[in-house]
Amino acid sequence: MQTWKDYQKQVPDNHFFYVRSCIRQSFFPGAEVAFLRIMQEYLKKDVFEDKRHTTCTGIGYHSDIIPLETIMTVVARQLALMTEAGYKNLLVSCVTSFGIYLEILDMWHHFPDKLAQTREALWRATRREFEVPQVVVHASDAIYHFRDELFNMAQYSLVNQETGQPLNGVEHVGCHYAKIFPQKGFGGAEFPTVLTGIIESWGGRVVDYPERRHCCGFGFRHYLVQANRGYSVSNSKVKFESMAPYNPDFILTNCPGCNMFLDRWQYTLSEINGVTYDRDGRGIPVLTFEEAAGLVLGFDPWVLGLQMHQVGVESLLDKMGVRYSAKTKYYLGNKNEVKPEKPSVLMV
Amino acid sequence: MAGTKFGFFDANVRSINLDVETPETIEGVLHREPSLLKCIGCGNCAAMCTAGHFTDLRFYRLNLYLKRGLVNEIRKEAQNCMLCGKCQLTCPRGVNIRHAILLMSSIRP
Repeated sequence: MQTWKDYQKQVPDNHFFYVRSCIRQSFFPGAEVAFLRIMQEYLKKDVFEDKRHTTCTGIGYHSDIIPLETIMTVVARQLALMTEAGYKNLLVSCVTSFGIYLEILDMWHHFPDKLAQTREALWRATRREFEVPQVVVHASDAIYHFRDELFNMAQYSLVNQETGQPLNGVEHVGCHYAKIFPQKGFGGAEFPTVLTGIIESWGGRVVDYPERRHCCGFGFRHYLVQANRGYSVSNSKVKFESMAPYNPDFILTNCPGCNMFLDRWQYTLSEINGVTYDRDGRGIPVLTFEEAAGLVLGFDPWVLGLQMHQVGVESLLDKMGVRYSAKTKYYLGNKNEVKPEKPSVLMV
Repeated sequence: MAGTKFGFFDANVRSINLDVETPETIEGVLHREPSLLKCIGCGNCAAMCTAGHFTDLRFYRLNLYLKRGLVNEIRKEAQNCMLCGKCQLTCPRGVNIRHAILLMSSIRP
């Protein structure tokens, strides 16, 4: 019988072709830059990024706007860029894209005629050819794989500097990370270890809360139409109410949508109901795995882009003992500082 | 200040503890009328229902209520049925709806 511990995957040690997420560029613009810096400057890995790569169109596909043949051809074009650059390990920033690549590769495996059609469509459209990647790795897999090496270079840990106790972290793994293809993620669908491993290796303590595997509310159709967004915010509310009794110090995610909604909906729920899910009324800070890695390695939190989060991260920075300047939070080089409007409930 | 309007709203979290919500009652109904398990929730029964034009009665929804242990809702809605049997004529899965309604109506708190 297969148990969750059997769900392990091989992560190559070097030579990756990196594809970015389309939405993270806007919502958490520092995360991917930090990831590349960590991989290239700290770990000295060969990570190549082609500026010509595009969105995978996954959101459109899951919303029934992009037809299957179209997304296959778009994915094929990304793979063609990878092939032209001489890489075989695809490193994916986004969990939606990760699911898309795995789904399409699996479809091509079972239906070779679809692969042949896609090759032909790509050739007709762009005169490009592609090879199927040897390995598809999510960026959180890479951080998990190198977590001990990174911690050897760390300046901070996930430990409360005042009490000496580990910080309580709750993790939320994106549904498309391992719920579609359990064998492609560390720990499978039920017990993914990709984020818990990171938290524990860097000194934190993982809190197991009842609705840990519940959807965050991203769910594509849940939020595309404004009138439907109640479905999305209600999903997040289930999670917040489930995790709040454990007083988490932070939420760690590996998916752009989860990251955005678990962060932004805390503001929305506070404005609708007047509630926050921490003791102090500041909300629970939400980090991506790269942002957590950047903090541990001693990056300036404002260079990491943490000022773009709806829930202020200062409470977490103070607990970790991270040195930061409150004055430079919204400093934009030579340009005039533009501070966001203050929420009416959530304390910032 | 709470109460900001966003054009959408949040739902209250519903958690149903089946240890508390009398599972033996639910299981009793399913045991005595196992065809309920065949329901695919297509809604033909509700579209055909005369009583449904004047009341909240929707049989496929009663079946969902049953599986969720919402016995108060079941009791309230099941009483609206006139037992005409048109729903049973249209059901593509052959659910014995009238018997199920009688069983549901007899659920006691």
